[in-house]
Amino acid sequence: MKRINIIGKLILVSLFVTTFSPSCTNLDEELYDVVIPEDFLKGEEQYVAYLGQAYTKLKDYGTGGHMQLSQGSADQGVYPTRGTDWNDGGVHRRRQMHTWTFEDTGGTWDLAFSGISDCNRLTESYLVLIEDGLIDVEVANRFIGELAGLRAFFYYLLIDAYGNVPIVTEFSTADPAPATKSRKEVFDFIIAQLDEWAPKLEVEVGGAAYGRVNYWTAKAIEAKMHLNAEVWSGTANWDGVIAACDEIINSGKFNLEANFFTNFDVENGVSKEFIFAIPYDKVFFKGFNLSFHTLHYGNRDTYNLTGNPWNGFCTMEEFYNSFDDKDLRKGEPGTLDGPATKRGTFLVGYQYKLNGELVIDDADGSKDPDGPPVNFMPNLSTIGPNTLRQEGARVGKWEFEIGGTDNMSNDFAVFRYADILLMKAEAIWRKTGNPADATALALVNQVRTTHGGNEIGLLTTLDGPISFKIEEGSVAGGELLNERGRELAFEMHRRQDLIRWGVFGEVAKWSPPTGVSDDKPFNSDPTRTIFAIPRNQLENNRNLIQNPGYTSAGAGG
Amino acid sequence: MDDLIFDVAYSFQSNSELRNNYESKESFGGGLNRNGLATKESKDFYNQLLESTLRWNGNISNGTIDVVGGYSYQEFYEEGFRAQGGDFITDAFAYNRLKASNDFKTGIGDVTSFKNTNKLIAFFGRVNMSWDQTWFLSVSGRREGSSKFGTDKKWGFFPGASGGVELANFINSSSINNLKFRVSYGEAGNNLKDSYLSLVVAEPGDDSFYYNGDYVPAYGPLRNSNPNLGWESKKEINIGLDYSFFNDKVYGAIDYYSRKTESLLWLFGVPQPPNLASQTWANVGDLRNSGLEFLVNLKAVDNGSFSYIPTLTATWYIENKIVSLSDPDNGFVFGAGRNLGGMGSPGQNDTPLVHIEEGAPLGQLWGWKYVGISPTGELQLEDISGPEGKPDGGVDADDRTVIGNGLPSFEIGFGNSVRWNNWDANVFFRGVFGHDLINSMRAFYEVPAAIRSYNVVSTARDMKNPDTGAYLNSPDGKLSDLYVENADFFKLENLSIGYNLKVPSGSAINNVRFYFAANNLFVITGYKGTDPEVRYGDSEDDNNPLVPGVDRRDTWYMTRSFSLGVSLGFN
Repeated sequence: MKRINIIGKLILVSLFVTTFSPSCTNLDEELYDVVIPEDFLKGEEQYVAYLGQAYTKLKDYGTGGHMQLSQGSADQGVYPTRGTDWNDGGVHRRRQMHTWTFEDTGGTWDLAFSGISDCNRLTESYLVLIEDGLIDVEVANRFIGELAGLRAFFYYLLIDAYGNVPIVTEFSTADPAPATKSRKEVFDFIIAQLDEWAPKLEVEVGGAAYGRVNYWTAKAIEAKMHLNAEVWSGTANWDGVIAACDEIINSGKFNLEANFFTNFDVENGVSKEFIFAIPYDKVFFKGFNLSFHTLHYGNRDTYNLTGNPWNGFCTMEEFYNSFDDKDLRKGEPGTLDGPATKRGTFLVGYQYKLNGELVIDDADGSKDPDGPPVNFMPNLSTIGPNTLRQEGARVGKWEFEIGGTDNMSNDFAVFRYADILLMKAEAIWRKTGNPADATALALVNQVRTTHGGNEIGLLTTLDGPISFKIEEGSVAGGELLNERGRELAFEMHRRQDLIRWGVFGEVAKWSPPTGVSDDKPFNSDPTRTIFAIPRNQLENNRNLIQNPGYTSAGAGG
Repeated sequence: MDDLIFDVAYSFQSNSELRNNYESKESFGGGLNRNGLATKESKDFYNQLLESTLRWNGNISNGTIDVVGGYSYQEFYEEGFRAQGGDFITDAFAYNRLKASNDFKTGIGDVTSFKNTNKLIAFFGRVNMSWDQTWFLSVSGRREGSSKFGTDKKWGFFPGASGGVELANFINSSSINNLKFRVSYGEAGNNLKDSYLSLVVAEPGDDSFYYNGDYVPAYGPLRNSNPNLGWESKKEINIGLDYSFFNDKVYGAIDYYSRKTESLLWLFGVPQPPNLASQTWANVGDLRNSGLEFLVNLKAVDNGSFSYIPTLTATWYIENKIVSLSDPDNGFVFGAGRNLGGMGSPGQNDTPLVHIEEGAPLGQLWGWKYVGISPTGELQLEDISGPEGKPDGGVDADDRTVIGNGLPSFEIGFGNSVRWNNWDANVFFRGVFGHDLINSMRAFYEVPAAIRSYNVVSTARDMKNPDTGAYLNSPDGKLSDLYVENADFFKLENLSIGYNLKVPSGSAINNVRFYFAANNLFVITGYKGTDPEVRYGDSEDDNNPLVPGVDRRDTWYMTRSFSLGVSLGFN
């Protein structure tokens, strides 16, 4: 403490004030590891980096929450509970039994709406850049069109999953709590958006445009919209499907790959079938980790993976059996004589290490009938909680990279040419009602013979028994549904297909039984064809309306 | 003579951390899955403070005046660096040779650095006055600014005032030595933890964008921003009485307080769409709490060689209420009710813990009601409602209800100070009553079947049907009121005994004291978890005050400590 005279005090005070006055009341934030957009957006390099943000929202498509909702509720993919593995509070069993609650259904919402919000934000940013004369108008408009196309894709996922959702195309000026719109309104919105923006999209494919939304992506979405129009809008539009598919087919830009598995290789970006693919990469674009979801812990040594896989995702026996043994897409089991020599949609039978030894599961308590050597059995006795560790055929469709990590580099085809051909065939069949329609059969056989590589593709009718026994005898379009299942297995079209065929509610017929009786029994209610609006969204937005048949407990409203 | 004092103080504080970690190729967790995993991380925090005050003490007629004014300027910096890579050929280097990690060559290795800063500037003043040793008045104000808030919201003003009167001076009674009545009002600001939350900023995310045949970085905002972020303020009214009777034989205080938190800073759940992320930092809401505090000291015995003074403190928590959690002007509308928390993994990630509603008390624990275990080992919970408001035959979100209260209603402290010749002793007991805790340890690990994957608690043995003996067959836990426990407790918090040695006058040492001290000697409680203390905020969520009453699995055991010591004082 100092005591000095008045003059001294004044000198000190003024010294103090002058020393610190420039910053004395300045509270501007100083940025070091983040940048404000005005300082960032200086040229095309940054405009492109900005655009990329919207695409990164696709990362959870491959094996994230969206995939688990979409696949886990249908008849191909299942995550059985093996002891405490893959129990996760019973969510996987609830999805399988169609008894999910509004706390189990957030995956698609989170993916799609975070993407939509980004598309809206970026559209607004590019419009401002145009207004300020900072960006080439043509470049900006191309980006804006692309974002509208991407947004339409996200809405396509939403109309499929939830039906009734808010429609938002603005960002800073948007309603802070947008209200639910009916599925019909969402349908009309997506169609109108596609009509408006598709003509402005890039028509070149591959190369520079790979992995981006282009004209053909818009056409594929349009085909899917019309294919499901009867379910989603109440009015069928088979001609719309045919027209959209024809445009893609007649463009000559796509073709079936002679080898089915080219579409699923690690280096599958070369495929002539890809209309829209997500370019996953173990370093640059992470999010597709099917290998870890489906493989047994011991399969680490089969592919020299960097970690132990999680022994989860597998398929139902009936679906496995819907493939003919001669179908090259099926694959063959590994035996005690050696591993499977051909790749297939499924991994079954004995598993081998890279060095040729059998993979052994010597964990204490393994009750698998064939003992410690890992032998994937197509039979799935229960969806849990006490599914055996080796039960269930695994997914081998996508090539597992030797030395891979828990992020695969295989790209994921969202829309594939084979699907376009099958969609067109379905539209023709549904329009004519003739299960032996030659044009439709030719399209199905084109896919079958090219990819199956065998002679059994000469179908005489699209009808037939369904892979899971819905009833004895023939089901209208049953064989076509089976064929879509075989060709597009695990590509996330199955739930939609089952709903369109009206058999989604037959869950009790395809699902293995559950081992816990405190879970509610299978729920076949028609309200299950759309998911519940997630709890946190209902809580946070009072203008959302819960879908019929679901609770909004604790969320008010 | 009046005094005018000018003080300038400068301080610089620095804290550096260096963390090294290596998980061997065989270690479960990171090492095994990454073929060895090395992490090297350094962090530096530093801040500098410049504070100057001008103080004047003076006399006014029959009284004194004390005026202080000042300015304070504080800058905070945080910066650091981190590198993590795996895939080693040998464990030999641990974290000492990151270049040996193959992950850096394949692009899987992770390297990052960060730096951020913020400023806090304040102008403050205070006037203390007293007259006749009877009337007291104090008025203060603090204008404080933080760089973390929105452009127009950086500055806040936090006034305070208090007044008192010594009533003993008006009452002519020899038994009343002191009777001071006080009233005070004060406001204080509460700041955000992170910088830049009010700004729209671009930053690179984890993922790239496939553009023209190559991956390019993707940039954009990774969170919602809020340009209107401003100070949270706490306002408190306090009315109290200090008393001392019978030659200071009985003395203490009685206080009533009422506190209000306004513009609560909270990571508010917002609609998505239209937002980029599902939560935004916002000033939403008012919380209110009030209570009554008593303090009494009694000089039970006090003669030259022996004294015993017990001290009793008691607090009644009268109200703890969520008044509002909305800011409709800025688009933040709370709605009818929300469930917060998230029990965690495995299996209970989406299990809410607390239910909040505007107008309702804070700390309502939320969940299912436990019924029992069926003869076949199924968990049975009570079906209390359904979509139509009545039991529907199944147990789901409709059947959750209030299953406990996370905040206490009463707290007591009991101190005992004894002095006998050269000996002195202090014993302090403390008890808190009326609060419940979610015992997370039990809610996760009281599951017999989970023993296949991890350790369970010993009470898992009790999780069986009493008739058939069938154990609970669920593979993982499920929160219900079975795991909500009353956590009343009374404990001997600390005890100390000392002996003061007589020192001859004139020696270099003027004071020698030997002492023994102990903490946490015993706790009386029915709570089965590690620590029955009140959890005022969620330890897994930045101590979020809206989620009290959760004993998380990271609670460490209370330690009981004993110490023996000698203290010396020198002339």
